[in-house]
Formats: sequence, structure tokens, C-alpha cells
Amino acid sequence: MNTVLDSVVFKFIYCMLVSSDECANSFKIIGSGFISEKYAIIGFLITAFFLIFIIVNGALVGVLALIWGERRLVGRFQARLGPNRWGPWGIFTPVADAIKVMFKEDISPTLSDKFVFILAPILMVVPVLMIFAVIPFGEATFLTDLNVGVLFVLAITSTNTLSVLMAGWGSGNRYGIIGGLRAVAMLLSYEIPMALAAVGVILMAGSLSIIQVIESQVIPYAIFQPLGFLTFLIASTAELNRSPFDITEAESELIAGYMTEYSSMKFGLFYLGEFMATIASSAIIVCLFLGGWKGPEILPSHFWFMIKWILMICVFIWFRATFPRLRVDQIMELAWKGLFELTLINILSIAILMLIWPDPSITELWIMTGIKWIVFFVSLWIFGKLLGPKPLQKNGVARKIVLQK
Amino acid sequence: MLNNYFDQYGIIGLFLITATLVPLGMLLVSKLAQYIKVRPHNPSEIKEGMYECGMRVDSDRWQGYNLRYYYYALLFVIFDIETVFLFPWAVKYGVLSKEFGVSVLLAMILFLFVVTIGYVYAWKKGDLQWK
Amino acid sequence: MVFADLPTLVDIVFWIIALFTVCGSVAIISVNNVFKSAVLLALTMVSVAILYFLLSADFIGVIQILVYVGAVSVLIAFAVMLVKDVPRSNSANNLINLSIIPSTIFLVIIAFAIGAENWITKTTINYEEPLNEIVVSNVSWIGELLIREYFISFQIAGLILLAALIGALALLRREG
Repeated sequence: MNTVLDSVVFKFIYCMLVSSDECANSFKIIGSGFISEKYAIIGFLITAFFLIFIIVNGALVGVLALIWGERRLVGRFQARLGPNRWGPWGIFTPVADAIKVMFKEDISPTLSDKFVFILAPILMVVPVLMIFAVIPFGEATFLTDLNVGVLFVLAITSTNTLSVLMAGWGSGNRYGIIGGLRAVAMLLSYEIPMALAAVGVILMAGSLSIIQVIESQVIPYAIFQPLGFLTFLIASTAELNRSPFDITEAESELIAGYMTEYSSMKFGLFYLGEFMATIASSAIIVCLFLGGWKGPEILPSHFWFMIKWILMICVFIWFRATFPRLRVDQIMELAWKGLFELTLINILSIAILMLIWPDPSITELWIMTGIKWIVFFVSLWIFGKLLGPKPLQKNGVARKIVLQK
Repeated sequence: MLNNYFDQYGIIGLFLITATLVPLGMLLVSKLAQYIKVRPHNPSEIKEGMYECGMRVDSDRWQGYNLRYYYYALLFVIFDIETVFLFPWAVKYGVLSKEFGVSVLLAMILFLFVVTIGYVYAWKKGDLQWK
Repeated sequence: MVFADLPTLVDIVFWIIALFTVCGSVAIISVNNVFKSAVLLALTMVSVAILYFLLSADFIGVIQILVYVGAVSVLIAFAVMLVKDVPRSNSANNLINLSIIPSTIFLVIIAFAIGAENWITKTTINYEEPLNEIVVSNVSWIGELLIREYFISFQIAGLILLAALIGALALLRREG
């Protein structure tokens, strides 16, 4: 577990304010350390609030950037231009969106339960923002390094389930309730494969701290355990309610799901929470599976993290543009029958390989990787046979007729 | 050591306070805009009714929920607790397996096997099928 | 570095959160709408998790959020939604006068149980001394205990989960 002062940024600002023993060897500018050690807590609070302020605002600006980037990219995917009127390349479109959403009329339905109705969007945003507290943005650049970092992220994201249900029930709308129930059933089902895929990472890292997980990645875990990476990616796409899994909104079926009755800023908060969750979980995937800030030393670690982060977000946008929406029964079947088993196979295969090579060298790690890829293809083939489209035996006749036509 | 622990969680606590203030502040700004007449506010009975198809809705809240959802939540709780047991085991596995060898793995396989019996039974009976 | 130098600050936060927990629990039983009490239950669970964090049991705190806020409250909310006429359904509130008797008895029993236990109070922990790994990293300690000491209990937990699963299936079968 790193201490707070192991973070370069934190130490720099803290040592500018406070004169203490910890700052003896650090870089100093003239006039720094004007708070005596007795009142160190003031310096600590100022530093912490300053960094929190930067991170929270960074997340909000990131959401604006993501809305713009997503609309432009999806436009390109669908062979159209996307928004391009406001500012160069339409770069101010999300700003206009934000202002519009904030100053729209706020409707509170008579059938809604006021307390639950207002609390739901707030509880949607808070946990997503909390994830940013544990993300390391580069080598020795982090806000906190918790002992239980990975579990903290999983636990915080799991609280979203309740706010979705609250939104659905609180608005008192039928579409809202159906959408909310569907969403909750899906979110619950995909949380288990997500946690189990993370267990595969923790087995190799031997720690729950996100920084130690990154430091343990000699080969990025995306290459080392493709099965875990695939399941985690699918599960987090589902957790984000993003496109192949967006049955909760399903415009053509359910109006807007649990968001039907929401308007103005309350709707804006749901929108914000969803996009922020995409950013946050891309960062988590980068940390757990793509080696975090690690990369060749031609660029500083922060750039590597940024590049991987943006690429990961683009992958999510790419998913949205290409995959058609799944049906409810297909989604539940995939979670309970497919991903659950695949993650268990992943955990057991890693545990067995760790027994054979307790202290693997680089060559042995690559041998393990090869075995993991064989396991990956074999298990995918088996589960494809098990869950894929079955030859229709009962309705075989009907199918033949269709084919002949 | 414990000093560091409280520093870390102190920052998490400060972050929680800030993160709660962000959505509250946004709602407040939006609400204040109503008082300076930037945001319109013209409530009417139809507008505040349940949104269904544009017509006035006479019925009350909908009550007929499916027990199916409750069942999935129950399954989720069970498997969630199973994963909770996996985490501390996974953290210590690398160290313990050098000392005890196969038996650490067998302990977890036994645990998973016991839970998986019920899982396989549910699959075979078709209870994991969404209806 | 800073927060633990002021043990009183940690204590003050602890008592504020404890007060919040008690108020939340009272609110759960006094609200008429059951769904609202389910939501309040989840919020109270969060404050219990914060209490765990303050007692330097971070693993238990995280598990409290993961299982109780993320899973059990949703389960309870689903169960509550099956009730007819949710907004006025907390009919137990009609018996509020009668319920004082059993709850007083329960309170006395709990008070005796707490009083009889010889608690290691927080004053025995010296913040200046570096503590051993057990207190600080409780995840790996729990992992070690699961394999070394409580192996049988660990397997019995698996059996209990199996029993719960079979019970869930039986419930579904009867309704289905």
C-alpha cells in the first residue's frame, strides 16, 4: 500500500504549503512551507480538496468530450457527418446540450414518489464519481491507493442497481417500472461474471490494490488471460447499459425505460452518470487488463495511460455502432450460462498454472500465455456449441421451407 | 501504518462529500433558474400525469410484478456471497500454494463444487431460462 | 500523516455516523411507504459500512457495500414491490404501542450481551506505533485464516449457499 505522499502531485502541493520532515528531500520553490507542522491538517485538507476539485472537473469535462466524440464517431460509422455546426467540427455541441438540459422545464409527475424520484438521479452520479478517486493516472500519480481498491470499485458500481430500481419505481410510470426491472435483472446478472473475471487478475497480482495490480503486469493481462479480459469487457459493457445491452432504454420498445418521466436536470444527471461510467470503467479496464500506465519509455507514463484510456473508450463507441441489440432472454442466458462458466474456467486454469510455475520467469510466462490462449479457444468453441443457434429439430420442417424459397 | 490508512480513507470521505455536492449543486442551479424565469414552469394536469401515449391516464400505479425478478435477485445474492469468499482466497493463493501445494486449490474447488451442484441442477431443470 | 494524529477527529466522525445510523434505523420503521423504507435501509447500510471503515476493517466495509447495498437491498426492494398498495403498506405501524414491550425486552438482552463482553477498547491502540500487518491488511489475513484455521467453516458456508440456492428454486417451482 502506497502512502498518500508517494503520489508526486500530492507531495508537491503538500510540501508547498507545509514544512514537515516528509518534505525534506522534495523539490521546493521559494516561499514554500509557510504552514507549520502543527497545523499540517490544514495543508492536507487544502491539497486534498484541490486535487479532488481537479479530478471531479476533469470527469465533467471528460463527459462533454465523450458526448462530442461519440456523436462524431458514430456519425462516421454510419456514413454521415455528425454534429458540425457549433464551433469547429461541432466541438461546442455538448456545451449547448448541457445548457439546454439545465434550463428545460422540470416536470414532476403526480403519481411519482417525490423523495425516491429526486434521490435516484443523485445516487446515480455519486458512486460513478467515487470511482475516479482510486484510479492511478500515471506512475506515482494517484489520489488514493486503497488496500481493497479492486473490490472498492466493484462494490461502488454495484450500488447503481438500486438507483435504477428507485428511478423506475419512483416515477410511477409503467414503462419506467418495466424498464427498471429489466435493467436491474440485467445489471445483477452481469455483476457476477465481472467480479469473477477480476478474481483472475487478483490471483496473479496477489493484491487488491490497483497500483500493485498494474505493477504485477509483466505481460498485460489482456494478452495473458484473454478469457478474463473478454468476459470482463462484455460484463462491463452490460453494466454500462451500452449498446448491445441497452434493453433498458430500448427506445422502440419502452420509450426510455426508467428515465421516461425524467426531464430537465434530473434527466441530465442520468445522462451524465451513464457517460461518466463509460469513462470510469474504461480506466478500470486499462488498469486491470491493459497494464495501466506501463509502456515503452519513449513517452511519459501519463501519456501511455491517456492513449490506452482513449482507445478503450473508442472500443465502447465501436461496440455501440456495430452490434445489434440483444433480446432479454439472450442477455440473461449469456450471463448465467456463458460468462459465469467461462470465468470459473479462467480462475481454475490460472490457479493450476500457478501451481506448476510458482515463480515464473519471462519465458515461463509466455508458455502460460500460450496455454491460456488454447484454453480460450477450446472453451469458446465448447460454449458456442452449447449456447449458439441450435439446429431446429422440432421446427426443422418450417426452416427448410424458408430456406428453399 | 494506520496513519496512512486514515489518510487514505479521509480523502475518500472528502471525495464522497464533494461527489454528493456536485449533483446537488447542478439540481440547485437548475432550480434557481426557475426563479429568475430562465427555466419555464407551466404545470398542467395532462403534463404531470403518467406518460403513456399522450392521452389522460385514469388508472393508478401498476402493481403486477413478476416473482421472476425476485428469484433472480435471490440467485444474485447467493453467487455474490460466493465471489466474496473467492477474493481473500485469491489474494493469498500465490503465497499459500507454495507452502501447502495442491490442497489450497482443492479447498476452493471443493467449495465451488458444492455451490455448482445447485447451479447445474438449476440449469438442467431449465430454471436459468428467461421466461 | 494527519488524520490519525488527531484521534479525536476520527472519534467525532465515528459518533456522527453512529448517530446517523440510529436515526436512519428509526426512520426505516417509522415511514409508511415500504419502498421508501427499503431505500432508507440501503442508506443506513452505507453508514454502517462507513463505521466499519472507521474501525479499520476496510475489507468488511467494502463487503458490506457490495453485499448489503448492492444485493440485499435490491432483493428487499423487489420483495417489497410484490406487496399490494405499497405507499400505505407499512401496517405494522398500527401496532406501535404494542411493539414497545418486545422491543424493550430485546433492548435489555442486547444491553446485557454488550455489557458482558470484555471489549478491547480503542484506547489500547497507540497510533504512534507502527502496527503489524494483521490490522492493516485484513484481506490477506482473512484469506490465510480461511485456509489455515477455519477450513471446515468455509466449506459449511458453501453448503449453506447450496441450501439457499435449492430453497430459491423450490420457491420458484411453487409459484411457477
